[in-house]
Amino acid sequence: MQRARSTRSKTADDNSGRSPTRRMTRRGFVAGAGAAGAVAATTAIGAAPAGAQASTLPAAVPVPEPIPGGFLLDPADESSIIHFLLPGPAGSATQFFGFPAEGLDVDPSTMTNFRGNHAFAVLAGEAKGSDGATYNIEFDLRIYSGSYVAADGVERNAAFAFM
Amino acid sequence: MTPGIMPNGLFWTSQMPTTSMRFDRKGNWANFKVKNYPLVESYVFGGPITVHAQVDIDVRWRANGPSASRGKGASVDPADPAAFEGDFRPARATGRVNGSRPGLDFVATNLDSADYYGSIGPMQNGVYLT
Repeated sequence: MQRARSTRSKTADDNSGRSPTRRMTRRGFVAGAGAAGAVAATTAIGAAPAGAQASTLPAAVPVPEPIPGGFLLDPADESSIIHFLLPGPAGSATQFFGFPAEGLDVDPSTMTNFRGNHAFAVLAGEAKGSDGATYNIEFDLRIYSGSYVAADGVERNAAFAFM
Repeated sequence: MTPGIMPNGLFWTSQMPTTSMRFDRKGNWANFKVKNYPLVESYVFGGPITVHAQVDIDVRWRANGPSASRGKGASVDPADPAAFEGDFRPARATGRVNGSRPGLDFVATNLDSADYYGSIGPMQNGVYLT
């Protein structure tokens, strides 16, 4: 998950360096992500838009099932669940957007029925844009490599990334 | 820019070439590198406007602490955040990300997870829980 914010807005920041308007819950961020310039429409795993280098893409495999847990965009609507958790030391928060960590006994995987290796981190830093602006960027990156069982019940080996 | 949300709810998770990531057998490090990987961006969550984008990512994790057992496995409800088992080491990740889409490119060369948290290690969940 890449999130970017122009540093040109710093004059509106509070003493913490974060804009008061950015003190959103993770749910609030996802629901109002237009301002942050993030987020996406659906795309099939393994599908490639025109112009992509096909040699870099693996043969598509069935979509993994998501973890059952997550958080609700609308507390009154269980179908609004986002199957995503944020591991991290209790009491801490991500650097720029301030998303609160949920603890260390929190599944870093977005997919269930998985066994293998993982690596997870929320990286932060500055990005230079071709528009001349400098952005604070926060990048939640997770990689998974191993076996998984999709809805068809077949076990496969594959690699995935959350970004 | 993300891979999107799949119809089954899988969130922003995309298949990658198996050669794009490597894990040290002893859990000391991991690497992830992709170039010109296609993603889709719609600017607004679930919005109708989509733009094809590409990213280059080169990130390395280095373990910086001892391993610890994480998760509560099958002893909790499957929807519980702790419904997994893992042997995790804290890790620091560093790297760079370049993104490109019509109208805007960006380059981030000194990304670092030092101000938050990272982890590395084996894990299992779902049907693999004992």
